[in-house]
Amino acid sequence: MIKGHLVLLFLFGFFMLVLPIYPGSSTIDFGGHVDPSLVYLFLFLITGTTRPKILMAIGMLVFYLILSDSFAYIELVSKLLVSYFFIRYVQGFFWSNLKNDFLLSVIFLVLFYLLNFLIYWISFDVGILEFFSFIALPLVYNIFVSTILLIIIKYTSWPKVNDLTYQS
Amino acid sequence: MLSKRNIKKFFIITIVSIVVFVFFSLNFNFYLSSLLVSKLSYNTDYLSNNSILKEKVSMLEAKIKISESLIQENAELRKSQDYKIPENLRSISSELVIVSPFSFTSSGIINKGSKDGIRKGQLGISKNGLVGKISEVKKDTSEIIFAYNPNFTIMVFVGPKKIPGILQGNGVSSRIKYITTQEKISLGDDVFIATNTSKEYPGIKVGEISDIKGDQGFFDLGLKNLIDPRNIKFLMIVVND
Repeated sequence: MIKGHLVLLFLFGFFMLVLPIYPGSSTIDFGGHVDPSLVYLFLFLITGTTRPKILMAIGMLVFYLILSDSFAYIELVSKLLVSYFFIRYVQGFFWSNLKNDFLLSVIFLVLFYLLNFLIYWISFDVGILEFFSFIALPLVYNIFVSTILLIIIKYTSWPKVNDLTYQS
Repeated sequence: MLSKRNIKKFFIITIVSIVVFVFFSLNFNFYLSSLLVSKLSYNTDYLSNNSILKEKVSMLEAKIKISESLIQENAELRKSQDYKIPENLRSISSELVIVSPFSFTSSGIINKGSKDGIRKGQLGISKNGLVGKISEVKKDTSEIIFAYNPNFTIMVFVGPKKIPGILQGNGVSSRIKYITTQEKISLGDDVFIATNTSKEYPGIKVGEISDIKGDQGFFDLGLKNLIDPRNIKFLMIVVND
């Protein structure tokens, strides 16, 4: 039973990783507005940072990096930097509940886009309006998808009731 | 009266149900219907004629669904073929099969490669405008970098006087550079893809000038009506022989 459960989890994870790269797959891409790597990275961080999860997150980022070109290294570094900053200076200051987790998703995404704005402003002289018009929809969609997945993964479970060892 | 916990539970279940329903109604219902009918449906000898007929009806319904999707795909392809490109250019129809999921440096993979005549540097266009440029070619597939990718550069002509400039991606958009401030450029000027000789001037419109900045003797021009290439499915690769 446990083995079957693990296989299902592995298959689910595999398809969630691979399907968003196909345009129009109707998974979580929403017409290309959602960055799946960003959403998954946030989910990995918010559900507790353990070594296997960090390895999985890095593996996922590297897999997506293979499909991109040389400039994607900038984005990879920015994602890793934001993740480190998020774990070190942000996440620990919030109680874990749905409202705060939603707030954390907003903070994580704003931090990521802010860092990228600085990078692209310095490197390619990108204007703030130009940048905002590019990220406005992805920001909303990323928050929306992250929150929904967060509710499904973290806040939907059967009530935990301990077995009674005596007759009441 | 529902308790707060039950309301929360009800709310979560509703959201999850909507997501699951939308997901399945978009994708899997169509693919699984014929499989479910043919393999997993319950057959019995009792009232066998009725059940066989029901099975046939379901099969036909599934076939209609498949035909409808094919018709839709054909219509989409026809639309992309309707795009009028100049007669002196040859184009190859292709499909964008994979899109890189990164936000700023997106690129894609198309289902045509060197055996179909695709070469590095050729441009990809859809019915709505410029998609990108071929950056790497393999035997069966090719990589296309989108117009806002920092690696993307092409030569363009601006305005009625066909002033040459370079259209360059900057990660979030594409801007035209290397036009001296002595030239007369105005808002709304059309921008076309350029080639080295005026004879081969293809006349494929990329967009219109939306903002003009001048810096150190050169213009920095913004464009409007650029398309978002991550949404497209079919595109044409311009083979400029």
